[in-house]
Amino acid sequence: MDDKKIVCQLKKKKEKALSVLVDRYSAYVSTVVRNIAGNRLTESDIEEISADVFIIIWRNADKLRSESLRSYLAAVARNLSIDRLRKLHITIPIDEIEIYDNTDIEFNAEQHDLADVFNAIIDKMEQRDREILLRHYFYYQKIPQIALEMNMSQSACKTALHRARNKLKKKLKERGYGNEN
Amino acid sequence: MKINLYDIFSDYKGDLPDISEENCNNENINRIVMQRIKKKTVIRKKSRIAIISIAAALTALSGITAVAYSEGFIHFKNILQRTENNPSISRDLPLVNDNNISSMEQNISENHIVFTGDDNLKISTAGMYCDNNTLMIAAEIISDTEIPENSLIIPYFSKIENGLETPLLNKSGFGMTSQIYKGDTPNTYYTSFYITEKDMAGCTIKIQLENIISDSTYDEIQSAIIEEQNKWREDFDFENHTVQEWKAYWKANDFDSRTYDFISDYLENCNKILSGSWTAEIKIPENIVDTITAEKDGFKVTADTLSLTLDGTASISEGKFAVPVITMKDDTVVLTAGTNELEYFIDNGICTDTNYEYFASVFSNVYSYKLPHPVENIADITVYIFGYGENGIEAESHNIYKSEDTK
Repeated sequence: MDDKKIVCQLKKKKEKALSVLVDRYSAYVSTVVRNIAGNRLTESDIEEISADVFIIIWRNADKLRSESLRSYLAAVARNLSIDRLRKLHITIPIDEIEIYDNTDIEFNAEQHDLADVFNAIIDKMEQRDREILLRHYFYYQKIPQIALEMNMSQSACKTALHRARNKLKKKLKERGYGNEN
Repeated sequence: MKINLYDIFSDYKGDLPDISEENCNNENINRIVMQRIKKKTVIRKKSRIAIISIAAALTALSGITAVAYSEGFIHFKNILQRTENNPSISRDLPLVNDNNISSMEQNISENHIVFTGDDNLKISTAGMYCDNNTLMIAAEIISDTEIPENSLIIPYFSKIENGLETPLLNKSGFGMTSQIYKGDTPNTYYTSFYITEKDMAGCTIKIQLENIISDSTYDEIQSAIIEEQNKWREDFDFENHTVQEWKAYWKANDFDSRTYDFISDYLENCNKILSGSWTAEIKIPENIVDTITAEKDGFKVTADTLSLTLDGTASISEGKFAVPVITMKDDTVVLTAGTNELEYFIDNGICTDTNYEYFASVFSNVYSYKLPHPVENIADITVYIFGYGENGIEAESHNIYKSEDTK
């Protein structure tokens, strides 16, 4: 059953499709969760969170699109993992940049704009920069893991991440966001 | 205002790189998932029984003659407590559960305010929580027409104070729809509303409900708004201007009103499950229990079980910003902080790297908590003013409140 068929069957609430989905993606989902949780959650917690991801997919099957299934799984896994760590008062990494002025972002338009601007910037970045940023800031992968999977030395990886981050900040600043601290 | 780069990447919409996948207990995960989807109905009933028990126990403690709570009020409490598992409810909602709901009890009431309007639906409130800055209401809907799962009703709020009615803008423009849940009684449904707004005590909140739509119609409206706003951005040549210029252009063209009008026109003509308009006015009590109010050095704070407000920040010099920090008696520290401010707090012993908790959201000076914090648990409220000079971060502190037993 390919992803398109899985999504179609999930929308019809076919449990078999859910079972196939779990078989196909549980390793991926639990890896996303494990990257974020590190050794701060037990294996049982990781399995519970992974199961939660698939339950959410099941309940929101109407909203699924087959071409973005994997990304949606990753996004849900990411959010649930972060929520769980926050509830347990476990520190998770933050890396902040300052928006130009100090008002709250009350505007729907402004929140929208930042998301759109960000996606536009990321899409236009070089593939290597984009990948390294996504591995670090989306998947919460650490330098040694990124270096291994991208086949580079750890020092080269650190430098590349630093440069990619600076490029992102510079682009955001050009668009009116992100004063350097 | 700071943005966490990790949070920005939550908005990423493109393709993700492949990652090396680690082994997992596939069978276990599959078993958990299958058990849960089959157990769904059973679990809901168990929660309901738990709520009745708590309600009965609390009634006994308060000395009020024991009266069974209505299904609507029980549903209200269920709604409050289902945020943990319901991804469609905003993550801004506080995480209320059996252990901490008792801290909100004093400001929870069962009520039955009837909405007036079209007679194809009968809508009335079933229960609410209100304090100075937060209002959460459950409403019961009786409908002879079947309302499908995942249907949404659209609420508009305004505040009536001293005879003047002011619309309350929600956090995301159009987007504040409320999901409708089927009740156990035939033809009965429930929905709930959650707003934060400063200084609601003694005011009246007017709720106007318009139409019931499907969630796919909602998606359609969202897409239409984005398309319309994209046209405005193209006319403005958004790519070649800064965000500040865009904000000024937005205000000069009153795009808030134009967005509202666009949505209203679209809603008038789109497919609806049920058409209608229903209104009710909710009087917020003058005297909210469980509140701390304190003023010092030109700052004023008001703390309730679910949030804190901070006034007086308009006097802060340009380039500086205020961060309220609440220290609880159990040493939990509730704050909002960027990397540098958090480092400052940790280096100066205000919190450790394990005992702090971020506010769930900040809107119009209302700092909402992630979970209830009874005011009697507050040890200290201090406002920090941060700025950045030649030598890096600069901070001054103003202790606004200290509880009697920590002085």
